[in-house]
Amino acid sequence: MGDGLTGSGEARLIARAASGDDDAFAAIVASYEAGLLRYLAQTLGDIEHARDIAQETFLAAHHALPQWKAPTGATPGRLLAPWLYRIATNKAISLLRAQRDAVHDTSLREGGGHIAHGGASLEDRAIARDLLRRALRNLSGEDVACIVLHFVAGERYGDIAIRLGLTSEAVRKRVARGLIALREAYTALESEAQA
Amino acid sequence: MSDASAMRHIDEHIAAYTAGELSDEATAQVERHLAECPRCQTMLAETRHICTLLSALVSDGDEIPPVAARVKAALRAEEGESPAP
Repeated sequence: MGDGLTGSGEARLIARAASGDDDAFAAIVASYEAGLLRYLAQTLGDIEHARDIAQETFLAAHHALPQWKAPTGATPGRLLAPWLYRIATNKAISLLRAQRDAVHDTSLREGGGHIAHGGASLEDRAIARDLLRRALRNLSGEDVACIVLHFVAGERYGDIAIRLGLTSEAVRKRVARGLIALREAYTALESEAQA
Repeated sequence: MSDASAMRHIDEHIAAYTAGELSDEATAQVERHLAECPRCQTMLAETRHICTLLSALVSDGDEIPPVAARVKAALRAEEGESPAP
Protein backbone atom coordinates (compact mmCIF):
# COMPACT_ATOMS: atom_id res chain seq x y z
CA MET A 1 0.00 0.00 0.00
CA GLY A 2 3.00 2.21 -0.15
CA ASP A 3 3.31 3.54 3.37
CA GLY A 4 3.75 2.45 6.95
CA LEU A 5 6.61 0.86 8.88
CA THR A 6 7.35 -2.68 9.84
CA GLY A 7 7.44 -4.54 13.13
CA SER A 8 7.79 -2.65 16.36
CA GLY A 9 9.82 0.13 14.74
CA GLU A 10 6.83 2.40 14.45
CA ALA A 11 5.89 2.09 18.11
CA ARG A 12 9.41 3.12 19.13
CA LEU A 13 9.38 6.01 16.66
CA ILE A 14 6.03 7.22 17.96
CA ALA A 15 7.25 7.15 21.55
CA ARG A 16 10.38 9.10 20.59
CA ALA A 17 8.46 11.61 18.47
CA ALA A 18 5.92 12.15 21.24
CA SER A 19 8.84 13.01 23.52
CA GLY A 20 10.00 15.72 21.16
CA ASP A 21 12.49 13.82 18.97
CA ASP A 22 12.20 15.65 15.64
CA ASP A 23 14.22 13.05 13.76
CA ALA A 24 11.76 10.37 14.84
CA PHE A 25 8.83 12.50 13.68
CA ALA A 26 10.60 13.12 10.36
CA ALA A 27 10.88 9.34 9.93
CA ILE A 28 7.14 9.00 10.54
CA VAL A 29 6.42 11.69 7.94
CA ALA A 30 8.72 9.98 5.44
CA SER A 31 6.96 6.69 6.02
CA TYR A 32 3.42 7.95 5.45
CA GLU A 33 3.71 10.92 3.13
CA ALA A 34 3.68 9.15 -0.25
CA GLY A 35 0.49 7.21 0.43
CA LEU A 36 -1.20 10.13 2.12
CA LEU A 37 -0.30 12.54 -0.69
CA ARG A 38 -1.62 10.19 -3.32
CA TYR A 39 -4.85 9.66 -1.40
CA LEU A 40 -5.34 13.40 -0.93
CA ALA A 41 -4.60 14.12 -4.59
CA GLN A 42 -7.23 11.56 -5.56
CA THR A 43 -9.72 13.09 -3.14
CA LEU A 44 -9.07 16.71 -4.01
CA GLY A 45 -8.05 16.46 -7.65
CA ASP A 46 -5.23 18.92 -7.17
CA ILE A 47 -1.65 18.17 -6.20
CA GLU A 48 -0.89 21.50 -4.52
CA HIS A 49 -4.01 21.31 -2.39
CA ALA A 50 -3.05 17.74 -1.53
CA ARG A 51 0.40 18.91 -0.40
CA ASP A 52 -1.12 21.71 1.69
CA ILE A 53 -3.53 19.34 3.43
CA ALA A 54 -0.80 16.74 3.96
CA GLN A 55 1.38 19.36 5.60
CA GLU A 56 -1.51 20.48 7.82
CA THR A 57 -2.19 16.86 8.71
CA PHE A 58 1.38 16.18 9.80
CA LEU A 59 1.55 19.42 11.78
CA ALA A 60 -1.71 18.54 13.55
CA ALA A 61 -0.35 15.06 14.22
CA HIS A 62 2.87 16.49 15.63
CA HIS A 63 0.92 18.60 18.11
CA ALA A 64 -1.45 15.80 19.12
CA LEU A 65 1.02 12.90 19.16
CA PRO A 66 1.74 13.12 22.93
CA GLN A 67 -1.96 12.40 23.56
CA TRP A 68 -2.26 9.65 20.91
CA LYS A 69 -3.03 6.13 22.06
CA ALA A 70 -2.77 3.02 19.88
CA PRO A 71 -6.25 1.78 18.95
CA THR A 72 -7.25 -1.75 19.90
CA GLY A 73 -6.53 -4.16 17.10
CA ALA A 74 -4.29 -1.75 15.20
CA THR A 75 -2.06 -3.31 12.57
CA PRO A 76 1.61 -3.44 13.69
CA GLY A 77 3.71 -1.15 11.57
CA ARG A 78 0.65 0.86 10.52
CA LEU A 79 -0.39 2.13 13.92
CA LEU A 80 -0.82 5.75 12.87
CA ALA A 81 -2.55 5.10 9.54
CA PRO A 82 -6.20 5.28 10.69
CA TRP A 83 -5.51 8.41 12.73
CA LEU A 84 -3.58 10.22 9.99
CA TYR A 85 -6.13 9.32 7.30
CA ARG A 86 -8.95 10.51 9.54
CA ILE A 87 -7.24 13.87 10.15
CA ALA A 88 -6.43 14.22 6.43
CA THR A 89 -9.92 13.25 5.29
CA ASN A 90 -11.61 15.71 7.63
CA LYS A 91 -9.34 18.51 6.42
CA ALA A 92 -9.92 17.53 2.78
CA ILE A 93 -13.69 17.52 3.25
CA SER A 94 -13.55 20.95 4.90
CA LEU A 95 -11.58 22.28 1.95
CA LEU A 96 -13.95 20.74 -0.60
CA ARG A 97 -16.97 22.17 1.13
CA ALA A 98 -15.39 25.60 1.48
CA GLN A 99 -14.41 25.66 -2.19
CA ARG A 100 -17.55 24.00 -3.50
CA ASP A 101 -18.52 26.43 -6.23
CA ALA A 102 -15.13 27.83 -7.16
CA VAL A 103 -13.52 24.40 -7.48
CA HIS A 104 -16.46 23.16 -9.57
CA ASP A 105 -15.82 25.89 -12.15
CA THR A 106 -12.08 25.26 -12.18
CA SER A 107 -12.59 21.52 -12.61
CA LEU A 108 -14.73 21.95 -15.69
CA ARG A 109 -12.28 24.38 -17.25
CA GLU A 110 -9.15 22.39 -16.57
CA GLY A 111 -10.38 18.88 -17.11
CA GLY A 112 -10.69 17.65 -13.56
CA GLY A 113 -7.53 18.81 -11.81
CA HIS A 114 -3.89 17.93 -12.13
CA ILE A 115 -3.96 14.32 -11.02
CA ALA A 116 -5.96 13.09 -13.98
CA HIS A 117 -4.03 11.67 -16.90
CA GLY A 118 -4.08 8.56 -19.03
CA GLY A 119 -6.43 7.46 -21.75
CA ALA A 120 -9.67 9.06 -20.58
CA SER A 121 -10.89 12.17 -22.32
CA LEU A 122 -10.73 15.55 -20.65
CA GLU A 123 -14.49 15.60 -20.62
CA ASP A 124 -14.71 12.22 -18.89
CA ARG A 125 -12.22 13.32 -16.26
CA ALA A 126 -14.14 16.54 -15.66
CA ILE A 127 -17.33 14.52 -15.25
CA ALA A 128 -15.57 12.11 -12.91
CA ARG A 129 -14.18 14.91 -10.77
CA ASP A 130 -17.58 16.61 -10.59
CA LEU A 131 -19.26 13.30 -9.78
CA LEU A 132 -16.86 12.58 -6.95
CA ARG A 133 -17.10 16.06 -5.53
CA ARG A 134 -20.89 15.96 -5.48
CA ALA A 135 -20.93 12.54 -3.85
CA LEU A 136 -18.44 13.62 -1.18
CA ARG A 137 -20.61 16.49 -0.01
CA ASN A 138 -22.96 14.49 2.15
CA LEU A 139 -20.82 11.60 3.29
CA SER A 140 -18.94 11.07 6.55
CA GLY A 141 -15.15 11.15 6.62
CA GLU A 142 -14.80 7.36 6.70
CA ASP A 143 -17.30 6.94 3.87
CA VAL A 144 -15.32 9.46 1.80
CA ALA A 145 -12.06 7.65 2.49
CA CYS A 146 -13.58 4.29 1.55
CA ILE A 147 -15.03 5.41 -1.78
CA VAL A 148 -11.88 7.28 -2.82
CA LEU A 149 -9.61 4.38 -1.89
CA HIS A 150 -11.92 1.86 -3.57
CA PHE A 151 -13.39 3.56 -6.63
CA VAL A 152 -10.50 5.88 -7.50
CA ALA A 153 -7.44 4.05 -6.20
CA GLY A 154 -8.87 0.58 -6.84
CA GLU A 155 -7.91 -0.84 -3.44
CA ARG A 156 -9.43 -4.08 -2.13
CA TYR A 157 -11.72 -3.97 0.89
CA GLY A 158 -9.16 -5.75 3.06
CA ASP A 159 -6.43 -3.25 2.24
CA ILE A 160 -8.75 -0.32 2.95
CA ALA A 161 -9.73 -1.92 6.25
CA ILE A 162 -6.09 -2.07 7.35
CA ARG A 163 -5.38 1.46 6.21
CA LEU A 164 -8.38 2.96 8.00
CA GLY A 165 -8.52 0.67 11.02
CA LEU A 166 -11.95 -0.73 10.07
CA THR A 167 -13.30 -4.23 9.54
CA SER A 168 -13.79 -5.46 5.97
CA GLU A 169 -17.52 -5.61 6.65
CA ALA A 170 -17.50 -1.96 7.71
CA VAL A 171 -15.65 -1.10 4.50
CA ARG A 172 -18.22 -3.05 2.46
CA LYS A 173 -21.07 -1.10 4.03
CA ARG A 174 -19.34 2.23 3.52
CA VAL A 175 -18.52 1.48 -0.11
CA ALA A 176 -22.14 0.42 -0.71
CA ARG A 177 -23.34 3.66 0.89
CA GLY A 178 -20.82 5.63 -1.14
CA LEU A 179 -22.05 4.04 -4.35
CA ILE A 180 -25.58 5.20 -3.56
CA ALA A 181 -24.25 8.76 -3.22
CA LEU A 182 -22.29 8.37 -6.46
CA ARG A 183 -25.34 7.08 -8.34
CA GLU A 184 -27.45 9.96 -7.03
CA ALA A 185 -24.77 12.41 -8.14
CA TYR A 186 -24.59 10.66 -11.53
CA THR A 187 -28.36 10.94 -11.97
CA ALA A 188 -28.25 14.63 -11.05
CA LEU A 189 -25.45 15.26 -13.54
CA GLU A 190 -27.37 13.48 -16.27
CA SER A 191 -30.49 15.51 -15.52
CA GLU A 192 -28.52 18.75 -15.68
CA ALA A 193 -26.91 17.71 -18.94
CA GLN A 194 -30.30 17.05 -20.47
CA ALA A 195 -31.90 20.25 -19.15
CA MET B 1 -40.27 -19.47 -7.27
CA SER B 2 -36.67 -19.56 -8.50
CA ASP B 3 -33.72 -18.29 -6.44
CA ALA B 4 -33.31 -15.44 -8.91
CA SER B 5 -36.86 -14.19 -8.67
CA ALA B 6 -36.94 -14.76 -4.92
CA MET B 7 -33.89 -12.54 -4.40
CA ARG B 8 -34.56 -8.88 -3.84
CA HIS B 9 -32.96 -6.34 -6.11
CA ILE B 10 -29.21 -6.37 -5.72
CA ASP B 11 -28.66 -2.73 -4.71
CA GLU B 12 -26.92 -3.70 -1.48
CA HIS B 13 -24.53 -6.08 -3.26
CA ILE B 14 -23.81 -4.23 -6.49
CA ALA B 15 -20.65 -2.49 -5.28
CA ALA B 16 -19.14 -5.67 -3.86
CA TYR B 17 -20.21 -7.65 -6.96
CA THR B 18 -18.60 -5.13 -9.29
CA ALA B 19 -15.43 -5.21 -7.19
CA GLY B 20 -15.29 -9.00 -7.12
CA GLU B 21 -15.59 -8.94 -3.34
CA LEU B 22 -18.54 -11.33 -3.02
CA SER B 23 -18.26 -15.01 -2.17
CA ASP B 24 -18.76 -17.49 -5.01
CA GLU B 25 -22.20 -18.37 -3.68
CA ALA B 26 -23.30 -14.75 -3.41
CA THR B 27 -21.87 -14.00 -6.85
CA ALA B 28 -23.88 -16.82 -8.38
CA GLN B 29 -27.01 -15.60 -6.62
CA VAL B 30 -26.51 -12.05 -7.90
CA GLU B 31 -25.91 -13.31 -11.42
CA ARG B 32 -29.08 -15.39 -11.37
CA HIS B 33 -30.99 -12.30 -10.34
CA LEU B 34 -29.31 -10.15 -12.97
CA ALA B 35 -30.27 -12.58 -15.72
CA GLU B 36 -33.93 -11.94 -14.98
CA CYS B 37 -34.02 -8.31 -13.83
CA PRO B 38 -33.70 -5.45 -16.36
CA ARG B 39 -33.70 -2.88 -13.55
CA CYS B 40 -30.64 -4.37 -11.92
CA GLN B 41 -28.95 -4.88 -15.31
CA THR B 42 -29.30 -1.13 -15.87
CA MET B 43 -27.96 -0.41 -12.40
CA LEU B 44 -24.97 -2.68 -13.03
CA ALA B 45 -24.17 -0.93 -16.30
CA GLU B 46 -24.43 2.45 -14.61
CA THR B 47 -22.23 1.29 -11.74
CA ARG B 48 -19.56 0.00 -14.12
CA HIS B 49 -19.65 3.31 -15.98
CA ILE B 50 -19.18 5.21 -12.70
CA CYS B 51 -16.26 2.91 -11.79
CA THR B 52 -14.65 3.51 -15.18
CA LEU B 53 -15.06 7.27 -14.86
CA LEU B 54 -13.55 7.38 -11.38
CA SER B 55 -10.65 5.10 -12.22
CA ALA B 56 -9.64 7.68 -14.86
CA LEU B 57 -8.74 10.03 -12.00
CA VAL B 58 -5.74 7.98 -10.96
CA SER B 59 -2.41 7.71 -12.72
CA ASP B 60 0.70 5.87 -11.64
CA GLY B 61 2.78 8.35 -13.60
CA ASP B 62 1.97 11.32 -11.41
CA GLU B 63 4.90 12.49 -9.32
CA ILE B 64 3.84 14.37 -6.22
CA PRO B 65 6.68 16.31 -4.59
CA PRO B 66 7.06 15.24 -0.95
CA VAL B 67 6.17 17.57 1.91
CA ALA B 68 8.65 16.38 4.54
CA ALA B 69 10.87 19.43 4.11
CA ARG B 70 7.88 21.77 4.31
CA VAL B 71 6.66 20.07 7.48
CA LYS B 72 10.12 20.34 9.05
CA ALA B 73 10.38 24.02 8.13
CA ALA B 74 6.91 24.74 9.50
CA LEU B 75 7.76 23.04 12.79
CA ARG B 76 10.99 25.04 13.07
CA ALA B 77 9.08 28.24 12.35
CA GLU B 78 6.58 27.36 15.08
CA GLU B 79 9.40 26.70 17.53
CA GLY B 80 10.97 30.02 16.58
CA GLU B 81 7.72 31.81 17.28
CA SER B 82 7.27 30.19 20.68
CA PRO B 83 8.16 32.40 23.62
CA ALA B 84 11.32 31.45 25.45
CA PRO B 85 10.67 29.33 28.57
